[in-house]
Amino acid sequence: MGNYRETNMREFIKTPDSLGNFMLELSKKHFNNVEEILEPCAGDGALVDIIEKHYNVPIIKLDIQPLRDDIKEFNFVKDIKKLEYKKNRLTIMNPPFAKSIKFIENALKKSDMLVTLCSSNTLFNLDWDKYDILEVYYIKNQIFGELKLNIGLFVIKNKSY
Amino acid sequence: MGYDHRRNLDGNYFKIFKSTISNLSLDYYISRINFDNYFIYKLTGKQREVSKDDFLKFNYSGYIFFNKTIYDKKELQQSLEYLWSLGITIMYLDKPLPRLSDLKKIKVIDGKL
Repeated sequence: MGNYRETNMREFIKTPDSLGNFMLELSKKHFNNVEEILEPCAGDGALVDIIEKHYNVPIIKLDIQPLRDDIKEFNFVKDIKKLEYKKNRLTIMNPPFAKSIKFIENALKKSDMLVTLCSSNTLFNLDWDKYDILEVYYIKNQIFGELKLNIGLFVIKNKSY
Repeated sequence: MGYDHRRNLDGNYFKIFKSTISNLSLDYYISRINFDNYFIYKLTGKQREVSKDDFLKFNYSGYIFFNKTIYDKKELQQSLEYLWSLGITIMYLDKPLPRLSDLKKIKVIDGKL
């Protein structure tokens, strides 16, 4: 499912501006003490560009296969221990849907606040009792390029935060 | 065509499904499952509880078993009905659902944002 990069077939679904702006509206609504933002699957930087319009804080831009020079190569699943936790860090991401759960779990190990897209099935497979689930959206018929998908969107914070 | 499973057959929950790469028969599973300890749901379509006899007919692609002492059948059904009321269907009921009917947190957006 999804678009795939020609080089090695990794999943790549570009975040539409409208959806990215909606994610940022939600993050502004719920989190007012953000000191740093993590985008761990930045791809071509589409979501990073939207984040920069809404926040004036440092952004850590990572991707397993960066498509832009300002994004650092980093495997957010295998190399997660190399990334330090930071208080008041917010993660905003559109992860590979097949690995949504792993990305969400890792994001909430390295930050306390999260706004993320995910597969629709992830909405029901995540352990809701483990986190403070602030908002949940089921978005039907979202357009991603030539694709029309039902997707999920979570706004989450760690219970300890 | 055989049958395969995920998770332990005496665990909190597990699923059994048709598989083109397995040679295991349904008899293999029947002798290993304590049916008294579990209630059974079909995995796909409009999920619903099925009886042991329904499971043995195996008319659908797979079934999920929930331990009766751990999971509340009424709560699961209420969560499914809550989702259906929102026009949401789950493709595969792979694991226990969160207490969705209690939480009532899901907002639905239809169409392009």
